[in-house]
Amino acid sequence: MRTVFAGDSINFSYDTKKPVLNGLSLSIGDKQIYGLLGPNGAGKSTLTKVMLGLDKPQSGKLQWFNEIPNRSTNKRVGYVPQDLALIYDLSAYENVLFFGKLYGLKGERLKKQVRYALEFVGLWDERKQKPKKFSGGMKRRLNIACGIVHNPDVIIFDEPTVGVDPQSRNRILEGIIELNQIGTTIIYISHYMEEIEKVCSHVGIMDKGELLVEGTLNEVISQHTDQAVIKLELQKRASAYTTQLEKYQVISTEGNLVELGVLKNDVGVISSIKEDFGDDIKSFQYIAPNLEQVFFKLTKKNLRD
Amino acid sequence: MWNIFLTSMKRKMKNPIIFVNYILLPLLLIVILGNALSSVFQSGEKDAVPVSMTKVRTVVVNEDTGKIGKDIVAFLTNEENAGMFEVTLQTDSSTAKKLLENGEYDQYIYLPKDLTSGFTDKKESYVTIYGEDSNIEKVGITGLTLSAFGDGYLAMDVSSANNKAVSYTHVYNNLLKVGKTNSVETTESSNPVSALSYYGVTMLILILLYGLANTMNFIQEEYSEALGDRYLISPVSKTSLIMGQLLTGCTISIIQGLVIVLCAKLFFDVSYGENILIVLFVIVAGAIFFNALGLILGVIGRRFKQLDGIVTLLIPIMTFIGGGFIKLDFGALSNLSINEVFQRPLFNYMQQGVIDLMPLYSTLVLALGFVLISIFALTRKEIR
Repeated sequence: MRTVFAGDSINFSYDTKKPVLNGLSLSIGDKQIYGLLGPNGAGKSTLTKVMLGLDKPQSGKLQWFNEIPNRSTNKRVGYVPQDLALIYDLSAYENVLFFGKLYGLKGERLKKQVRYALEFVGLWDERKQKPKKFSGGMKRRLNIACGIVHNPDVIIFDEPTVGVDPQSRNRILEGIIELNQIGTTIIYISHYMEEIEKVCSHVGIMDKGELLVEGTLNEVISQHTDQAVIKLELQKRASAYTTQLEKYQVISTEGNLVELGVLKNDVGVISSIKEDFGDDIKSFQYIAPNLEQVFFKLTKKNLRD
Repeated sequence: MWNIFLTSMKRKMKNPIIFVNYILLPLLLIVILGNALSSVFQSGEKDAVPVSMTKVRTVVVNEDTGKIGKDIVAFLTNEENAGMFEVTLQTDSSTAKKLLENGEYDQYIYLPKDLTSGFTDKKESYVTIYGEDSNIEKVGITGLTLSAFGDGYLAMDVSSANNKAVSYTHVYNNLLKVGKTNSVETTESSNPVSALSYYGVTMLILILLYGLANTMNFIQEEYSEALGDRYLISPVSKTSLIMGQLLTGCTISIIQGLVIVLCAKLFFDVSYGENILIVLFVIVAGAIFFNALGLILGVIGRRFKQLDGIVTLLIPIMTFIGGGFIKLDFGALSNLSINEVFQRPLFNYMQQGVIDLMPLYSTLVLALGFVLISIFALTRKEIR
């Protein structure tokens, strides 16, 4: 597979005391939806700025499309920042038009691309309105339109769904999948684990400026955790089952709810639970190993810590 | 660059503040300040108005039998000076002094007998003017009048007659060397600037100065957050980004300046001098300098939000100490006002017809430096 972005041994720090990126290496293939995960302070935003050329690494090599970044490679990269990057005294149409012009689009092609971008995010009918009249979700969508108007080969989405309503969120996620289906490589940075699991084909988990793991979603999950979770709802409060619970790895208890950690595909433990709690089990739920467990295992942190 | 320029212009032209605050407001200030503070300017205007003056009662003792003594007496009593001096000739010095002491005369002029011969022999000789302390101003005027007389070869000694201890001795022989024909220097008369014209200039410069704040704020807003990242990752060169913003700021400032000059001339009869090109040059130079300064402050201070407040405060302070709001002379302090750099050439031209644009050329050189630094400071960092 053709490599779209390659970073090798990237070191970056704002001051010499604490490195933000610590010898990080990363490779993103063509047409992937690459999810980048990491707790706050992991260095995701800095990595994004370094990838875009906004910050200069102290050492390491970067390549876009197998070239040292230059004006030509810049044209092939789109960026949808986490903070809204809009011009509020221009209409939605004028915003997208302006950013299209910045990327050298002209004439009919420009108009066509502006229309495509606005229709893609579902704002064509509102094109004459100024963004200050838009809802949070609409602003986010316009932000995306400005980032994709020049039809880039790669788009970096930095937390594109923060603070948007569920409807807009779904629309954005569907749009990202659609973009990928027409051949665009997506680099997706998000705090929302379920979004990553829903849209990404590949994932990289970062912490303390290092890339801890990367691969396809299934590879990462299967290779880095074998732990499943069983959620039980019992007749009585969990404290009434102290003796029975001693046999198991208790993750949490709350009232009559208990979470147990078990090995995946361990059929024996399920039989054992049925024997120990019998008719006291009001409900039983088996949760297969997932990204959240991998993330927790690798970083010892919840994503929103 | 043109995309940045045209889009920014479109955005700014849509903004009513550009017209209301930065064109109507200075025009209003020209009218309000020009009329309310016109009395401050009247001292200059009075110079042109004839005033009546009491004649100086003068007693003259001329012991000089030569030409110079006669010429001085003739000068004091000629038709032109008849309105100024009431001259009585006396032959005796002591009588003349008594008449002065009695108050019958305001001054006593003594022409010694060696006046002409001293001049001929190139020796110093003095015309002495005696006067009471109360009449010292009149004595001073007479001294200056005599020093300006003829070829001005006299030395005068003015002393107070009744108080020798506090004598007023003004030796004018520095002005007039014996045997030389020096004309007395006269100050070329300057055209007084009316209050409306004065504020027509200061408000014009003030509005150009506000170009600094406008451009600085614009750059800060555009380049401080995610929007700035979006500009900086685009394939547009940083030089184009900077020049586009500078061109926008300069164009707006020049339009504002021209509208103010035009309205001030048409509606308030403000005079900017006969050569309108001088005013145009000041506007263009001011627009370039202030916007370039705003550019560099905006770029360097992108993450320093307090800068906006500091500049907003400094603009009226600069204008005040530059005499922009009230015509006050702050002496050397006024040199700290950046407004002065642009006001002074205009006032010099309007008042004295002197065209000295060198300070403006210097500001253009500085502006070039500001632009280069701005491009450097905004330059996207290269990746190794």
